[in-house]
Amino acid sequence: MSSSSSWRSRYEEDPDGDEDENILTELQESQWSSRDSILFVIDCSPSMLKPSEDGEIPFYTAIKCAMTVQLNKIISSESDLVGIVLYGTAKSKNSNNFENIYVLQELDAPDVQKIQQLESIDDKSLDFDEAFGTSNGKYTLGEMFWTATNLFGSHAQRVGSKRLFLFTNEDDPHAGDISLRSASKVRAKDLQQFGIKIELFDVDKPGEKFDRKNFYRDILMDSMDDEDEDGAPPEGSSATLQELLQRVQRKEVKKRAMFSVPFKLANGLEIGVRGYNLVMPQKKGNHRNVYTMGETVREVQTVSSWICADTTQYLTPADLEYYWEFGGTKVIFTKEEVASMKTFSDPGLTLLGFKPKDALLMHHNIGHALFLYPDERSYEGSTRAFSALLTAMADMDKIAICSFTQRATYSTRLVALVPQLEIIGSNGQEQPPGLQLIPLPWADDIRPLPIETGFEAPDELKDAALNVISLLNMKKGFLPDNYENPSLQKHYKVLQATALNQRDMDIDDKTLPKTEQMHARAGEHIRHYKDVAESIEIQEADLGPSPPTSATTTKRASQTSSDGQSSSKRARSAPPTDDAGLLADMRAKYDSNELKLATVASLKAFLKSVNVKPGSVKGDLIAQVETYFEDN
Amino acid sequence: MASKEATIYILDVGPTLKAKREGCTISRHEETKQVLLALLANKVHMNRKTVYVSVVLVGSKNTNNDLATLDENGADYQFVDVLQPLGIATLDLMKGVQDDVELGDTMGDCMDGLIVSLDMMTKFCKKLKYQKKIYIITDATAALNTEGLEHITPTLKEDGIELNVIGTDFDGDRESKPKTTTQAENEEFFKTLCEETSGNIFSLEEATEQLSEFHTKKVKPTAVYRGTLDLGDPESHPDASLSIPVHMYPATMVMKLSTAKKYSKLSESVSADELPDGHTGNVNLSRAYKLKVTADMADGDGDGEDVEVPADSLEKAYMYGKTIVPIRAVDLEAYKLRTAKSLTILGFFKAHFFRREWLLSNIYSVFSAPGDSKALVELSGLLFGLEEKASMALCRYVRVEDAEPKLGILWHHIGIDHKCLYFGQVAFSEDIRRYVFASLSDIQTASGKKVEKHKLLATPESIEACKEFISALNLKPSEEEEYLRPEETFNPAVQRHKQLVEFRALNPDRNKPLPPLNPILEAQLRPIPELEVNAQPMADNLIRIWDIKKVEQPLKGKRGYQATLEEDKDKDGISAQLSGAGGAGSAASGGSLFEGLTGNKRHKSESVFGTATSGSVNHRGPGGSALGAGAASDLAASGMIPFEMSAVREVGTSDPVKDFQAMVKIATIQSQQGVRVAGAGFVTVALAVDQMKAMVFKLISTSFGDQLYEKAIDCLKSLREFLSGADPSLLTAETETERKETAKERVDTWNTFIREVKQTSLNTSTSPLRTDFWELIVKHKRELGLLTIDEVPAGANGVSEEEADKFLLEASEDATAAPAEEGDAPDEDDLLALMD
Repeated sequence: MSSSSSWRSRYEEDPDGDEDENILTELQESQWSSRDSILFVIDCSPSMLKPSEDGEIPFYTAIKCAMTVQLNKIISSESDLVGIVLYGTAKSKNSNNFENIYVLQELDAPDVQKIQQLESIDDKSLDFDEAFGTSNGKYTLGEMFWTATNLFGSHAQRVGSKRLFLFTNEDDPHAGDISLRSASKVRAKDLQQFGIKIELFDVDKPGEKFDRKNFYRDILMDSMDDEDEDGAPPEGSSATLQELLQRVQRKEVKKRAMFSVPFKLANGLEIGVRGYNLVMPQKKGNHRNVYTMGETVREVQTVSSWICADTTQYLTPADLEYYWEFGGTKVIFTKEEVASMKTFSDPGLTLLGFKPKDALLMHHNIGHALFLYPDERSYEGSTRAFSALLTAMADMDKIAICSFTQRATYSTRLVALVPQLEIIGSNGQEQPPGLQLIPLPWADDIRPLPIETGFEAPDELKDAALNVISLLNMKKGFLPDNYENPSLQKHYKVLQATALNQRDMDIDDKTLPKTEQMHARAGEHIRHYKDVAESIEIQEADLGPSPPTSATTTKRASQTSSDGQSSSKRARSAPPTDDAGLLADMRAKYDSNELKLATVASLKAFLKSVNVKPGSVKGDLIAQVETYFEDN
Repeated sequence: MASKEATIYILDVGPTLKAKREGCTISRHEETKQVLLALLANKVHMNRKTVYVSVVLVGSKNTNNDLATLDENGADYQFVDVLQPLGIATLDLMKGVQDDVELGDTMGDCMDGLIVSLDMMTKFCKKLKYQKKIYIITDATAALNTEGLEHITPTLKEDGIELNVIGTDFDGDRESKPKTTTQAENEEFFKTLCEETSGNIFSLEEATEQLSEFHTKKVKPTAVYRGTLDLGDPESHPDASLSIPVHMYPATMVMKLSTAKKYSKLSESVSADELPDGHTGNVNLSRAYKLKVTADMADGDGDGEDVEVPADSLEKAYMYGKTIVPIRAVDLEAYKLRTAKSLTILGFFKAHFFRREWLLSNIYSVFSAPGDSKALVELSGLLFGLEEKASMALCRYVRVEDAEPKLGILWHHIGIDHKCLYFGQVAFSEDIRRYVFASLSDIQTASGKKVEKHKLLATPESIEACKEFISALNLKPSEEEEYLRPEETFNPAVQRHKQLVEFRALNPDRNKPLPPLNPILEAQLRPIPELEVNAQPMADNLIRIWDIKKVEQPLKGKRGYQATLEEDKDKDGISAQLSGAGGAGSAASGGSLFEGLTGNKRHKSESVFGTATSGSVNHRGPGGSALGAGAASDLAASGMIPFEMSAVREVGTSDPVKDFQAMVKIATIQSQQGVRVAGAGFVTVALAVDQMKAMVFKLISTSFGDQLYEKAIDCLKSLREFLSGADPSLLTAETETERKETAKERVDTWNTFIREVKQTSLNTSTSPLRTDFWELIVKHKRELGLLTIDEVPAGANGVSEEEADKFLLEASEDATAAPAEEGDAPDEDDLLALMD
């Protein structure tokens, strides 16, 4: 459905959900998930237009931020609203006819023209002085807030969050004018009364730190609501584009809880927690169906209805029941009964106990994690309790095991909660405090390892490997930030190119190995490693029995070996692994004169195992086997 | 491809099985039947066409088998009754065993049964490859005719038939039981026989225990990737690169429950005779594609009626901002990212850098290609190297050509029997949300000072108490002892599904209560009782320290109207909303609107944005409103109301009249269908009317000049038309009396409301004055005045025409004569008296 909620609705493709449920929940999601609205408000005072210490011009940095956000929104959440207001401009454009306020873009869904407009400002093809000009610091902040309020208000569509991103380097506006100052504050507070949240993106002036105490602290204190929202850790003001961009991106998507449930720690002890999706595979947006044969391209909606095959009547949900086939019979259940088969408790977490952290095995993973944070609004005191639990678990290096039902219709399953302490970096919070919720597999979900081997690499081989591993070590470790999803980027690029009639559809695939660098660094060592490996003799027993292969698998295996470059060379050293069984079997068949009952495949396999080149006809094969047993 | 199976169950139904075992409430016969049913159920659940079963009764009243002879030479194979020859396991067979298998009168000979079974087996399976098994379930009381044993044993062996015997009084591995000499001899005999055919003998307890144990469904390991694990570029640098043939298998994979199919309840409304196949209950899905009506089109002519388009004329499109970008399927394919099948290492890194929550998917195991010793060696060095370096490898994985590349990590697993790499998919940059959360340990005052004590902060005392609590709830007291290991916890849903399907199949009476969930599975989801008891003192301590209070509030998402709704969701009439405190939510919002007119800017603007008052039916979170939304969407899905309407749960500013009409329609349909969804989001007529009323006030109060007057007038017209009862189909009451009652309430509602409007508009103490709005109403006289007797359904309190005229023309009413402002419903009689 709407991809405004792409992140959320995608979540609904939860493996637990029935198809039906998905349709429903997805509808709900698009219905209830609200769209975000962000209004960029950019100060155009002269100091914003002068390069700062690193050469960046704050005004253009802000424009770049707005552009990045628009570009992101246009592909990932196209129904979110974005608008841009400049203030401190010589020209004015707003419905109240306030001076020095220029509404560059009304709050609306992002579109191509808007981005192009920003591009033209950014690359200076649209002259700033000509188009807007600066009023040399003359403006009334209160009127800017008033304008912003109107912009948010005039939008008829319902929005879920309203946020104002304020870019300025003036930490003390209207310094000399007490009445203007207090009027601004009143306006700002009014604004927040309407649920509009102000996010300040403060930029330092050259040689002067932006000091929130001078003015903005009063305003911003108000904007902290009781949601866990942002009592956010204090962020330093920033100077560079990179820092600012990072900050904008962190705020770009409105933080929204997936669920809020009670967490039962013991009898009589419950706290509230909210769950968030901080990590989840981002997929391409859902496609829509359109009808292109009319005058204009028009979107098409699919109307599905259920029809009773026996009576040909249309069915309402109340007319539906559900069945499974069992031994040729339809076994019928009501919707509620079906739901009761997988949901064994009301939504919530129930603590079962604690284990040392190492009891959580890496390979016991089945899906992405969720993130838990206390919910003071459902249980007063949740925060202090959660915080104590988190600290204690982290100190003791423990994880919690819980049973978990996320929503009324979701499967109940076991999960591990892993403590995560807050980490503050130079540019704000790098890791939020909370519990990572890792869904655990059931025994039914764990597959036994199919191949056994006792072979252990001898030291010389291991040492050779260590050299290679050291040389190709990535010092900073793996950081997801460094790897964009190439298929997603390609998809976006194709969309953009098609929409804008561009030809360039190439992307930079950051997941390709940098093989030349690798060879330069470690080529020799890899060669050495291979040589060592070549020299190692291997006991047949170490190969272990292979998993059973079926007709289809053998077929695929042969395909692989034909495009792999190794098979013929290796055939020699690679006899089938279950020789003993095969031998006994053939011997038995030979003895009982039943070789004709053996399959061609087994005859061939047997012959290969004893280094006889198998013939092509079954008769020949049997003869070959007989010869072999006569000789042995 | 799974192999074929043939299994024959021989059930002894000799008269001796009537006796109960010591300490049992049911007879041996019932017990053995239960075991047989459980065995059969397992086969039925497999739902495979190549799994064949047969049930043979021994000691039955009937004789029914191919070998039976009864002539002058004597009687052979008597009382052996083949209930079902080898065939597919069906529910009918199970029902037959459950309901129709009775004890016989004569002792049967299990050896007769066995020979009959062998004969069936040989004829059925011929020389084809089958997994062949025979089970004998007996009390071993009857004498066995062991004549011909010298033929039986070799046949069993040669044909590879596994013989298992379940004896009611067998010793099992625990205790020996009192038994007769024959029983003991028979047990010994079966034991020998079973051993020779690599089968087993079981006591009844053992069998029951085994059957009730949970087994994971065996899935044959199938490689999802057979290719090479590369390091470097094997094409340009064949000597200096690694290219190890590997196979990748799932190590975890969520076992999905089979989804239920839909069944139509309406099917049974017609007689089965009229249907060619009887009642199938099948449900067909029909899809229609309709052009979406966009806002600008709806404003234009013709209301944009539904236009259906054929499915094959559709193209795919994606949104690029507001722009729809149609892309032909061929182009989509042509522009797709080209990739080659590969698993290639990008580099290595220290394992401690990796954060567990970056794992996105299930896990795979990576082995060197089976039988490839060179590959084994090359992979082995790598994985021992990773172990020693405590490192992982970052890799790029493309399952098949042109598949989307995935980023993954490889780490080692070195066990005694198994040595492999594990592969787990990890997050791309796009997959990570960087939300900021408030610190839990750092709270600052306005002046930037760190607070040491705060109600949100954990105290050292509470942390210590928490540690004691954690220690008391230890699920892994030692290396060997660990509760709730994933390998040993079975998914209750899998078992529950099996259990209930079996139960309902054998007990078609829908009123029969379903059996409880297996207690062992139930226990997995609850704290371990002993631990819980041990930890309770620590928990009590925490309860004292933390002093948690559940916040009792009108729940999130249920404010204003929704809260009201909660209170009287059972009444469809509007009276509930109007009378007394029940209307608190609406009254409050109305109230603030009035205040808005008295010059309090904040309140006035508040209503503009609908943040906290009249618009607060806004949905505060998906959770709260889920139920109601579900109901409406259901209706939409069933095609009863247009899809876009199903969403309407609030009278919005953009097109209030349309919203109102949609809500009324939804409410009416829901009520006619008897849909009663409790909770937020459920639409009632009362809710719609109340919101519409609030909307009118909102429009009047926020109108800039006469900007919004027209809209307000439209709202009024629409509201009046509805309340006048002009469309009788929107009256939902069942009985005539109720119908009248509803009509009467509605008329009263309007007449009260329009008086309020008048009073508000003419209130001279507000600024700006809205007298111009009232003048507009007067212009529309008949369309907007009080509802008169002539206009309303019989029985409702319409006013006289004179009164209606007077009401419109009288410029201003004495404030004291005006209806109460508090939103309390005025007493009708008083009101009328005043008007007179």
